[in-house]
Amino acid sequence: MRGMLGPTQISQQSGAPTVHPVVNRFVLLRSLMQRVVVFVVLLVLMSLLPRLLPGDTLDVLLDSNVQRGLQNSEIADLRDRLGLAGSLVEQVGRDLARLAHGDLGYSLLHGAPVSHLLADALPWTALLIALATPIFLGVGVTLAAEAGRQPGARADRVITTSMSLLTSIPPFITAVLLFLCFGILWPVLPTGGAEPLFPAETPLLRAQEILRHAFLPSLALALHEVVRYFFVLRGEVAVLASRAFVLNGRSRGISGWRERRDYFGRNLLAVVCARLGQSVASLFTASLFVEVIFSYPGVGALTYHAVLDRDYPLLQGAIAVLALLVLGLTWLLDALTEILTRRG
Amino acid sequence: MGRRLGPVLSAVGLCLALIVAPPPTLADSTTPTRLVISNSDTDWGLAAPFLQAPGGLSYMLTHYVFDNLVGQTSSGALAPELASEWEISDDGMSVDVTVDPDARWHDGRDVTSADVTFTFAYMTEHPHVYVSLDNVAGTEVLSPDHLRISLHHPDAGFAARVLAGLPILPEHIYRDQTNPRLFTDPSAMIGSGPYRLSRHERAKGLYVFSAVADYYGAAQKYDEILIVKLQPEGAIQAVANGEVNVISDLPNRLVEMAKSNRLQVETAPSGNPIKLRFDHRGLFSVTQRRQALAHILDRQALADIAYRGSASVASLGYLQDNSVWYRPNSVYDYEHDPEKATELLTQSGWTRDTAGRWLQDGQPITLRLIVGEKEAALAQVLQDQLGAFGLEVAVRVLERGALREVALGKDYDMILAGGSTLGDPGTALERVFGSNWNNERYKGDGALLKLALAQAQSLDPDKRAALLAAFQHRYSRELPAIQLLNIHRIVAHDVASRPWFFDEGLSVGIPVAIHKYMFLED
Amino acid sequence: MRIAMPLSRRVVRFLFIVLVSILLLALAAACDLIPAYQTSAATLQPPAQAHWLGTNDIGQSVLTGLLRAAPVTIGLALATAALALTIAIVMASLAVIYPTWGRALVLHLTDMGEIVPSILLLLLVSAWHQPGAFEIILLTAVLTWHDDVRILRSVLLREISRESITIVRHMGASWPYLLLRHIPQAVMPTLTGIYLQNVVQATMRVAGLAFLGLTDADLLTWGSMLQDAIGYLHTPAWQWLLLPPALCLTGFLMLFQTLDQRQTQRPQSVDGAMS
Repeated sequence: MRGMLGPTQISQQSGAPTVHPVVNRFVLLRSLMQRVVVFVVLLVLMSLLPRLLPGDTLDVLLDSNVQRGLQNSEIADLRDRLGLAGSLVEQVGRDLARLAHGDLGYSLLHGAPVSHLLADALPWTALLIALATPIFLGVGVTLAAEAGRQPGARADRVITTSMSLLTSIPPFITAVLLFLCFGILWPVLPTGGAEPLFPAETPLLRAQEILRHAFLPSLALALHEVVRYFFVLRGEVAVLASRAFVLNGRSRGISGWRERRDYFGRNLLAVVCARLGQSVASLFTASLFVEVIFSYPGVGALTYHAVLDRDYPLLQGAIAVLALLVLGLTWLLDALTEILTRRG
Repeated sequence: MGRRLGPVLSAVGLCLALIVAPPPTLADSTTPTRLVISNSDTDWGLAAPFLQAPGGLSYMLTHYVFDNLVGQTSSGALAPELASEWEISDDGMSVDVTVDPDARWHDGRDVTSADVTFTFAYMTEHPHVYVSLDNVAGTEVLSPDHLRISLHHPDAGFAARVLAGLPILPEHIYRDQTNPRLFTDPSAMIGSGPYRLSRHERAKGLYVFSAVADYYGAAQKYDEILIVKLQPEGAIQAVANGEVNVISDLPNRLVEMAKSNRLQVETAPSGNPIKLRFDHRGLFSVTQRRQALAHILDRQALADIAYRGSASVASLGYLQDNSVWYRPNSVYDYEHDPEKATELLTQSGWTRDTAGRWLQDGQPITLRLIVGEKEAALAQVLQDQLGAFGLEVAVRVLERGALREVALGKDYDMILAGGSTLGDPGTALERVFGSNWNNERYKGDGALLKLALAQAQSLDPDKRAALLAAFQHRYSRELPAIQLLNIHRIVAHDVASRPWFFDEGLSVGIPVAIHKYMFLED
Repeated sequence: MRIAMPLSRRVVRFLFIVLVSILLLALAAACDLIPAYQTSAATLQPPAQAHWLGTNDIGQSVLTGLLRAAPVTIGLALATAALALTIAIVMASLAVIYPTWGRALVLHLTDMGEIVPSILLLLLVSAWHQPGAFEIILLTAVLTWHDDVRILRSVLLREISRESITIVRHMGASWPYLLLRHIPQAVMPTLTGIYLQNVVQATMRVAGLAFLGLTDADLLTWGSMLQDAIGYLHTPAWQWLLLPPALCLTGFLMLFQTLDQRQTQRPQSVDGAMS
């Protein structure tokens, strides 16, 4: 869950076993229960916190320079109609009951059901993550294999040093620098929105335009993840490189692309899988920064503006859905890893 | 390595080439005439009176779709809209309205006087946030095209505030709606205006308005109006590329960039001056202290630093220069004069220590200033100016919800916030003397209130002008609030389109240039 | 172990120097030795004789801003990291001292902490109330302590199973006495390593929050200076508004990363105890 984070406790984790050897159903069941608890706590918190604050949605809704003064009775009536009345417990209870029915609520600021807003925004975030994943996996594995197969060699020193450098730059600064370099100083790529104002008619051209718009944001996302994978994988490769079967293979003249793919690539799969779980959460976090910087219409930017506008129904709905996604996906990936390791 | 890697590499290379190569632009000559407006706001809600987002821009969006009884000419004067005529009775107690017989709802039905009386009744039950109907005693249908509105007391600004401000609803649609804020069916957006909302893509912030066929009023200039969400930097590029025609909210920092891209830039004072409001029950209940502040503050420097030229020094007499009632000669002018301020503060009972700090009863004074996020930079400059004079200021930045809820007199001595002075001066009654969070909450000795009441009920323009001149003089002497700076609104556009600002704002006083009158032939 | 000791002591000395220098900076700021962060009519000026690093949009000197933001930014990071480490130590000790319920409770909490999507919580709390310095420290620490618990617990377990400790324990020493007296020396290298990592993490998190404009507006940090710069990317002013705070942040992070890497490159027995 290391969010804006970037690099994690690389050094401490690199030597640790990343895949739990003990496999049983109980572990999975327990982690499922824990997730349910966390989810419910989040739901209650997000329903409770905004209500402890001075000023509710109605205040923001009525905020305008030309607005006339409403009578207190008018305001009370409006609050009643909008479902903002009642004691704290009543309101929180109402929220939870509503969510249990799958109703995410209604954003008065957007004048739309929260579910519509999220359904509009989620695909764009999914696109960014889908584009970033092959980049960071590909680059991470390749660089790690290059650096780790001969620890201490020149290639290793160059790659590892530059990765350490990248680790020290907060990810949002990397994103801003990408924006600055390729959007302003050398404007070759679009830096705002997900599509041109008027999308092309033909599907192929339109897909190309969407890719162009998604390129920089997903690159920024990927850079953020590459470092996380690089250090772990490099450690693994270094261990592998000293193992007998690799030494054997090398003595039989196997090298280059085959060595990298057959000897390192396949063995790294389990490690990559185990780490993907953590990546889910950090990718969502990073996408928030990236979407804000590149004004990309994804769910991260939507949530961020909900915070700025104090649009609590939207914020609550977005957090509920995102938490469900993150908790669910991490659990699935954990389960997958367990199954993979059980197979050997 | 080479044989297997080759295809992969060339595939990657091809992808990169595709991505970096700009896509061919499509020239489409068959599209109808359209106007594209960009805005960087998050969302304006839907174009209906109860579904619009907060803020004046959203009111304007509804205004495209819903006509009001009274509209505006290009110079801003009141003009017939749904009401082909309106006449105020001699005693000022009733208004007779004739509804344009040609007016139609977008679904083809006739707009009748029954719709208008329904709207008044409905908006009384479900209040419109900009227009108060408190003064309306009742409405009466005289014929399908005539009605009479009776008032509690004479109101000089009734036509400007209510008739020109209130959107008229179709009775056959809204009759059965008990909770209009949750009524989001497309039929909620059936109005009588020149455009209808034909497409809305929320994620992209795209609104498409289409011209209504057989509109009863002036012909529409454009078949389509598009509003797109775009950061102003991107919007400038888009105007230069011919994709966008108007940027509705250009920030001051980008004016140079816009001009260097050959955009035309219009600037106008917004009539929403930033005011320094006071807690009239605390330190600043003494008029001399408020006057002293007006002498201490170098308002030109405030404008130069915090707004870098996109604000002008506001008039201290409440009404700003965009108003036809503005009388600069009757407003007392406070020079930037520290000596005079020292004198006033000393008279008020404050003393000064050797380090130059001001004391009350021997204790150093710290003025508590509350400010919204938008004016935080101005607050810093103000803090520096007062600090240099020996008055320490503790600034607290609050977000909007919290700003509304600050307890009166408990947590602050001064509040720095924008406030409108646009619209009919009758609104001064509420804005200066009201008790709402954004009112100045002033009492004084009652003389100023008397003037404000008299002008609001005065139906004779000459008499009203004289009363308002006296009001402005007295306001500038008593200073219920110090009107610091009149912030400018900036709009940028291409050569063909001509947005303009109304001096006194759109209808209820909204400082926008992309109102519906820009889309209609004269 | 032996080899790592001097280095960890050096790290502690380094941390001490950092702490003293930010205290000095803060003191200098308070006593007006650093010029006031004063607004002026010279807005958006490029670096020149009068303002070495130029001025921002309300005429404040960027250099002054950097100097005044330094103690705040670094202080926040150091304090947050310390608080997170403290919570983690308490939790790990609980787990070690009470092997039944303590261990179960702590491991449960740690698991939960790992799966809480912390950015969502941060957003929620920021929307509720823009956090000031104190709240930032508390919030970030509460959301990150779980990262340190497993490793601390295993190190503590290893230490108390040592013979010397077992003997002292048999002689009647209480756990608190042991935890305060005997064990700190042995776990020092691990602690400094974790602390360095925590500082890096805290710096990034706090800078991220400030960059999004979600911290208290009165809190001047390098992150909030970055946020102010974002509006000026399209003007030449980015050179002196964006780069200086970005370089300061990166430099600070790089310093701590390097130190941490140098420490962990020494052979240690820590890793083996992880499982």
